[in-house]
Amino acid sequence: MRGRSPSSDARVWNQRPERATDMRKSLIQDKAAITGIGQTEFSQGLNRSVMDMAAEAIFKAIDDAGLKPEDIDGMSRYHMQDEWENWIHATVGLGEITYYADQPHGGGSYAAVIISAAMGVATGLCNHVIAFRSRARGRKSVFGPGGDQGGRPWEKVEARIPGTMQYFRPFGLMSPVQEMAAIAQRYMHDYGITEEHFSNVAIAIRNHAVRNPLSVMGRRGPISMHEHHESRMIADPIRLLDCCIETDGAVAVVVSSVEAARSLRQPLAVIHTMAQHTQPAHYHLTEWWRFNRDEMALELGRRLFERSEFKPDDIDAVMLYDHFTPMVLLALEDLGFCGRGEGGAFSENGALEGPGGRLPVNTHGGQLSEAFIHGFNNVPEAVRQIRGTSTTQVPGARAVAVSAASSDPTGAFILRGD
Amino acid sequence: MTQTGKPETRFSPYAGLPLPQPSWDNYKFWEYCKAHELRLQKCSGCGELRYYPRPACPECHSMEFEWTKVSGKGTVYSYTIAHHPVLPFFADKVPLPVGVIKLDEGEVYMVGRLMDVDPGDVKIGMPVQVMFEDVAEDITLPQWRRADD
Repeated sequence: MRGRSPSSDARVWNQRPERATDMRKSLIQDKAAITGIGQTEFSQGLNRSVMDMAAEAIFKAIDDAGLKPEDIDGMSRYHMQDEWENWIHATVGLGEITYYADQPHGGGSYAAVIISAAMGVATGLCNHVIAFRSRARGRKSVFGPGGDQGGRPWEKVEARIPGTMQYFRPFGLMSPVQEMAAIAQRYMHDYGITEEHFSNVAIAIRNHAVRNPLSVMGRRGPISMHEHHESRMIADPIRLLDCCIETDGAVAVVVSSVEAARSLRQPLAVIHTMAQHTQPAHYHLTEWWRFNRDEMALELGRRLFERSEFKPDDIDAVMLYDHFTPMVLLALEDLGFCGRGEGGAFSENGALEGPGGRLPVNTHGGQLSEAFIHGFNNVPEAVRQIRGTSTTQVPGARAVAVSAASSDPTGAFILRGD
Repeated sequence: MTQTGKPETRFSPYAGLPLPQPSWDNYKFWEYCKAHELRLQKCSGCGELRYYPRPACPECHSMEFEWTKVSGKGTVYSYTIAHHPVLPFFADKVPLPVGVIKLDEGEVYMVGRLMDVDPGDVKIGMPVQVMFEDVAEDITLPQWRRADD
């Protein structure tokens, strides 16, 4: 039933019976499109509230779609977003909200936020869904008392820790970077991944940010492998330049039915196939190896592509959750762009760098170098690639894969042009 | 270093360390730690050990189990050396080695500090032995030290 440690029972996992549902198209495939994108300025401190930034991004996304706030009748959110549906509704004045959805698992949720938005419009429960994420987490951001209202939530940890985090927070694993470090350490050990491989990710994504005037780190210029290796060790083996930044900013998108999208102003960006997957999470670390996450995660890519007209080699660019560089290599493997343990070798020779690399990753600069909007800024970049408006445009891009965190229960979808 | 007293939280060297919040599902585990015993749930259906504590077996789905004393021996399966302390409590403890320990009994992994181990000496596969650190009136944390010392 379950795989165990790498190399032991991986075969058992791969040999389990196929489920019938795996082989048929999902009912919402190719039925919804992203019709509007909007975002605030990104910065390490905007001195604005989470709601203030959310409202701006939402208005901009609705305007980009050529709609009015009153046209929006669905909402899809991260459940970590403190600003609830009725608060947003009362602030920005949407239409009557007939469909809403929240998705758990933080950075693992953002593909699911789009998938549930697609469900709302594809099933006819609503016409236009607004989906968003707003965060005040920059070094100079507004600090509120809530865990997600500014500053680092792990610095606001309570005296008593409930839930599964009590099995590692009191022992010194206090923040995600330290959990990822334990995962990355074993990943290096098992597969010969090196810090050069980590730097391939950081360098390629920074180069994308340099071309993107809206990115926070791009203005600091490119980084070299030497600079990466010399950057401060945060949690061995993860260095400062392996880490995403913390920023203020908000991103919103409008999801509409494909029929409605055809009469709107933007080129079609169709949500083609989608997959969600439960797997061990970094905040559930004792289960990461017991349940052999490395084998389980392959399900995500398998489900995403077996329902698709595209194969991994057909994908023009990919938006991955780059909270930490090792997790990008894992994500490339999970989605089937290369085999298990081959993410490091895959990253060589500028493969991840656009527009000419084998598979450009996070052509806006991602969470590492554009801004950390919990992955949600990856969504408008996928749309820009399909529209042909990215600052690192892959010529003629027609299929872009988007995946949420490889370190969490997660999801992915493929966006395609008309 | 093992603390064997019962420090008052306010004046304790552990003031500022976030502590576990015992629950209905796990209070037995923490009670056994308090008695300096490492006991884990052993499934009565399939015999699998599990950690962290939970009410059912994910392997065979049995809800019957007993708290079984384990050897407390294991190896470092993975680890990190935390250089950034995150909380003030850890500021004088970095660089801090924290291990993911695979118990000798099988597919059971526990996170704990590697005590009295030089950060440069930590290696995957290193044998370790559990030790108990009394950090509050009601909480003792299972930590790890080198087994070959």
